[in-house]
Parts: sequence; C-alpha cells; structure tokens
Amino acid sequence: MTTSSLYKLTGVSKSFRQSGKEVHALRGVELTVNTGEHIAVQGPTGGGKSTLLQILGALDVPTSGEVELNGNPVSKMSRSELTKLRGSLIGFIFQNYNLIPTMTAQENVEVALAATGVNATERRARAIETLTKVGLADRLQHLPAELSGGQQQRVAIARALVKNPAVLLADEPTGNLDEQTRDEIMDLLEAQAAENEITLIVVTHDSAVAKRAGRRLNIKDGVVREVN
Amino acid sequence: MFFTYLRRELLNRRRQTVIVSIGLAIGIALVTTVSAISGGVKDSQAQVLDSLYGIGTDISITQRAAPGDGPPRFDIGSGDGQQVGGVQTISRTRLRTERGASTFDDATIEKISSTQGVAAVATALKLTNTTFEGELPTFMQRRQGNDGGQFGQGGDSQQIPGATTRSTVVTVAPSTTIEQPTGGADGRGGSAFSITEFSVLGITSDQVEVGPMASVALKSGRMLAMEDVGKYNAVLDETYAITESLTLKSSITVAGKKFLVAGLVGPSAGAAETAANVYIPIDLARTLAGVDAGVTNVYVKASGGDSVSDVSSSLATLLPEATISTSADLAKTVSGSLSTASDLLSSFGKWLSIIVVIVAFALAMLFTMSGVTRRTREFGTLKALGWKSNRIVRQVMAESVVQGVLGGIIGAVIAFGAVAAVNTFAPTLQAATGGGLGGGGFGGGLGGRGRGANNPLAAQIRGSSTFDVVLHAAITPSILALAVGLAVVGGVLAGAAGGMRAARLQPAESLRSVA
Ligand SMILES: Nc1ncnc2c1ncn2[C@@H]1O[C@H](COP(=O)(O)OP(=O)(O)O)[C@@H](O)[C@H]1O
Ligand SMILES: [Mg+2]
Repeated sequence: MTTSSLYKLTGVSKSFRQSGKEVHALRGVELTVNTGEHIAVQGPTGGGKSTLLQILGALDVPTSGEVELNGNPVSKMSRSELTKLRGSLIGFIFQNYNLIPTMTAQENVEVALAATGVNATERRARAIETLTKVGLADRLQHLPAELSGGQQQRVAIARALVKNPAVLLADEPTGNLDEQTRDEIMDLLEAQAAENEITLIVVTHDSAVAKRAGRRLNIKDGVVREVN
Repeated sequence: MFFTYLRRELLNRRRQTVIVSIGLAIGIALVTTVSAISGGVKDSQAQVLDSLYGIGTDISITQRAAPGDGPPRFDIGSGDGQQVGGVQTISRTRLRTERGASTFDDATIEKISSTQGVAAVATALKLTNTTFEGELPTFMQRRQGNDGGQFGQGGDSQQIPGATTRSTVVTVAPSTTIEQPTGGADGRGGSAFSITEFSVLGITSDQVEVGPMASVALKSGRMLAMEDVGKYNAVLDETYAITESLTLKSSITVAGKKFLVAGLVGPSAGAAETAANVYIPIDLARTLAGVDAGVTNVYVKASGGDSVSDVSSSLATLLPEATISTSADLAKTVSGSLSTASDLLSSFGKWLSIIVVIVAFALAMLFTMSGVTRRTREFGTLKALGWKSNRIVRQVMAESVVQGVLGGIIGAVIAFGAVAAVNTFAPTLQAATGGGLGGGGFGGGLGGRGRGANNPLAAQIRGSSTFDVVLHAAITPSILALAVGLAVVGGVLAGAAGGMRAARLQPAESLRSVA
C-alpha cells in the first residue's frame, strides 16, 4: 500500500458566534492524514475535538483555511456536494450511537445505503453481511431499545462500514460503554479498518483507547498538537 | 427505504400519530357532519319547493290582475235556498281562479317557450272550489259578541293545521262578504254557515317534464291522458281522498259537476307533497271557472343551471307585468323551523366548523414541529450519513399526510356515525310558505298577513302553508371529497411546518452529545 494523503488541512480555523461573542473552536490547524492511519484525538472538553471531526467529516466548512479530502477541495464545496461526499466517503460513529429508534438493526444499516442509490435487494444483502461481520447476525430484526449499548454501537459500526467509506470518524465511541465492551468495540473497529484499508480517527477521553492508536493528537483551545 | 421509514415512524411512534390524526379527525368530522346536515336541510327545502312548483321547475311565472277584483262574493238573495221558519238554508259552490290571478294566453306561452334558454314549459290553471253552506235568518241582523255557530269576530282568518287537508271552516266577517243585513232578528238572531274549499288544478296531461305533474306519482288508477279532454274525469291527491272518504271510481263534485275519480296520486320521490287536491282536464277547468282561455301558472325549466338568472331576466323583459320567480326567490319565501335550521347551519354551523378546523390544523402543525425538534439528532445523523434535506423533508411530509388521511378516515367514520344518529332521531322540520291557509281571500285576511300580502306567489298556494319534512342528512361523495381534501390539506400544512424545520437542521447536530 502506497502512503497517499487522505486529508490535507492548511491554516484551518473555525469560529462560532455565540451570544454576540466570537468563539474560536479551531485556530490555524495544519494537519495531514495518510490513508490507513489510526489516529486518536484527545484534549479537554471544549477544546475543539468535535469541531475538528465536523470539518474532517464534511459536516461543515472552515471559516478560513483549506481542507482537501482525497484531492477534493472540501472547503470550497457547496452544501449538496458535501452531502454527496459524506454519503460516499465518510463513516460516522457517535458516542450515543444515534440509531433511528423506530427502525430495526438491519434497517438502520440500510439507511446508510439509501442515500447512495443502491437498490433494495443489494441494500438488504449488504446490511445483513455487514451486521454478520460485527457479530449481530442474530439481531437483525431487533429495535435499538432491545439491544445493549455495545450491540447498538456494533449496529452503528455496521452502518458506517456498509458503504465502504474511506474514513471512519468516531466521536467518543466507547464513552458510554464498560471496559470490557469498550475493548471489544475497539478491537472490532481496528480490525475492520485494517481489513478494509479504512483510515480511523477516534476522538476519546480514554487514554486506554488513545494508546491503541498509531498516532495521537491533542487539541486545546483550538490548537492541534502531535503527542509523541 | 421511504416506505419502511414511514411505516416504522407511524407504527412505532404511535402516540404522535394518534394525537395528530385524532385532532384532525375531530375537525373533519365536524365539518363533514355540518355539511351533511346542511345538505339534508337544502334537500328538504328543495323538496318543499318541488312540491309547490313542480320538480325541475327553475322559474315560476304568474300574473296579478289589476286591483279592484275583490274577494269572492256569495250573493244571497231572498229567493235562494229553502226557507223554513224564518231560516234560509243555502248551499253555493263556485270554482274560481285564485284571488287576483290573471291568465296568460297561448301567444304568450308560445313566446315564453321560444325564449332563449327555456328547455321546457308546463302550464296550469290554478283554481279553488269553494262551497258555502249554511243557515241564515230570513232577515239578518248584525250582532255583536258570540252568538254561536261559526260566525266570526273580524277580518282575520285562521290558519289551519294539517297541510294536506285544505277543506276547512273559515270564519267570515259579515261586513265584507255578506250583504248587510236587511231585516230584524229572529229570537237567536244567529246565522250558522261553513265554507269548505279545495284546490283544483286544470292540467294538460302531456306536460310531465316540469311543473306540478312532475312532482306527483301515481298511487292507483290512472293518470289523466289526452283522451280525457272534455271528459269529467279527475285525479285526486291520495291524502285528500282519504280525508274526504273518496275512493277510486267514486265521484267528486267540482263546481256542481260530478267528476269520476280516475286515479289517486301522491308526491313523487323528492317532493314532500302534491300541488293540488284535485286535477282535472284544463278545458273543463276553463269552462267551469268561466275562464275563456289561458293559464294562471307557467312553469319553466331552464336549459342549464347557470342560465336561470339570464332566462329569468329575458322573461322579465318579455312579460313586464308578470311575477317571475326563480327557485332561489321561491326559497326565500319558505319560513319555519326548516329555514331556521338552514340559517343556523349557514351561520353558526359554518363558523364553528371553520374555527374547529383551523384549531385542528394549528395543533397538527405544532405537534409536527415539536416532533421534528425532538428528532433533531435523528435528522442530523441522517444528514451526516449523506441524506439530502429534501429526502428528510419528504419523509416528514409523508408522515403528516398519512396522519392527515388517517384523520380524514377517522373523521369520516365519526361523521357517518353522527349522521346515522341524526337520521335515526329523524327530526321533523316545518316549512311555512306565504300567508297561511285562510289568508288568501276570505274576509279580507290577506292584508293582515304580511308575508302573504307581499308575496303573491306564496299567497296563491293557498292551503300549502305548512309542510312537515323529515330531515335526512347524507354524506354525499362531494362531502366525502371535502373531508378527504381537508384531511390532506391539514396533513400537508403540518408536514410543511415540520419539514421546514427539518430542512434547517444542521448535520453537525448529530455530534451534539445532548439530545
Ligand atoms: N455550533 C456551535 N455554536 C457555537 N459554539 C460552538 C458550536 N460548536 C462548538 N462550539 C464551541 O466551540 C468550542 C469547541 O467545541 P467542541 O468542538 O464541541 O469541543 P469538544 O468536542 O472538544 O468538547 C466550544 O467552546 C464550543 O462551545
Ligand atoms: Mg465533543
């Protein structure tokens, strides 16, 4: 595998206006991420971790600076181009799993393919296949409320993986789980990322989780720093 | 995915679905029920009008003679009747056109028929057969106070209950209808007499498309036909025949001539009552009433609903002297609980349902918007997964429209129940037209009854003063369409409100740790 750069951030700043005051969530971030890297992002609450993930995930564009993803100039894209990019390249995993409560595990996974124009038959087949991969072959028709936290996060991982993304962005993926489940989830994430050559970026408070990553970043007051 | 998601949301978020649907259902049920009852009341009004003027009659034409034609007079001379011990027994019958009515000749009817927009014309000679029977003192003396018999107190007339029985006793003011007494009293001094009357319609047997013959249905015997011209055959209103103990093949005396009862008729479907007690061939009617030619009433059917007012104004130009009434004009002459119900429904009922619908729509919108707010993270997540805003808006819209349609169905079911309840209860409404039974011509009573005096048309229909109509409410396809339409509109409005909010949500909402 040739090491090509997946992300290239130059001078990225993001500020929010909050009750008349300017909040600088990111300040002049310079960052290059190579394909297949496993990165942990740490830092104090309000430091800018989620904002960085938001920029990397094409959920928002920076106030200033350039973001390139797979050579695409993300910072110059329209809303609908960003939506398309998210649908094809990016897999999200959230602390609260963010499953649709009224849908079964299988349907929750299919949701990720609905936006990409995959037909119903293939959608179903790929959802079942991916859920089987994350160990939930016997939980396809369960609603989120009928699953444990760890199982719900497995559904969320399947949902992120099912479209073969270039990158998995996880915001505190084990924040609500016990230690044993945490390790199982991290094992799964790392195995799947490695197997499918997916770049894995994990925001975490947990140093046990951070230690597993090949590369660690720390964000404080919007400033990104490499940790050695 | 669209239908899966839709089904899941509707079934698994049942509380939301039920609240929005029921809210819309209540509004829609009310509108539907009010519309159905309004429709029933309108049908009842149409029934009354059809009975009076004939089914399919759009315009009714009559004409009043110049003033000076007084009330019917029975001139009783000393040589009339039998005299027994100072009491004279008399019996007089006369068949006359209704007071003040004048006739249209054939040339005029021809002009009416050839008027632009006139599809069909029917004609009739409306007559009243009045029989005066009683005892008078040989030398009558006017007395004050109650002296027995039916001698009345003044010029007012009585309204007689029972619409179909047009035979009645009418009190008469001696000053107006009977020659001033000329002699002294016998001991009691009273004079007892009664007047009975029934309505007679001279008809042309082939005019059945419009006019009075359009609102009758044969019950037994036969209708009058062309070969009855010049023959003493009559058709009777069945109810009238029963009250007068007349049967098929028996005879009825009209203007002193015996007519064979050839058939009995009742109101046809859609009519509440028939137009007259007795139907006879028009040629005999003319002869017996001493009318040379012509008809008193012309019934016009316009070629299209839109052209009624055009036809009416053309006819008004053609016949400047005539009274030309459209069915809309005629409807205004109907009073009583039927018109009260109609007024109530068109004012209070309409506004109540409009307000309830607005409230239901507003609640549906608020519930949908708050539902979207609760699902902020869900929609943010879908956007993060690459769902376009449109797709999410469509989903929210669809949920609301289904809730609306569900509300429409529930509302329609409630309305069907309510309408069934109304029809089981079957309220009877009264409709009154004109000045009442006695107001037409005796004792100067006409002037005393405002409505009758102002409305020659209504006044002519003497005896048809009150109708009992049973209200029958019905949910018609158009009412059902209104219900479904409102339901969809309610759903679309709620969906638009929720969808707009969903469209504005940012995908970054998915990352917020608090829901
Ligand atoms: N949408 C927003 N509007 C206003 N301020 C924001 C918004 N998102 C983040 N912030 C602010 O930016 C800073 C960084 O937030 P965030 O990236 O969520 O931090 P972390 O994830 O490290 O806790 C915080 O001060 C936060 O209040
Ligand atoms: Mg955060």
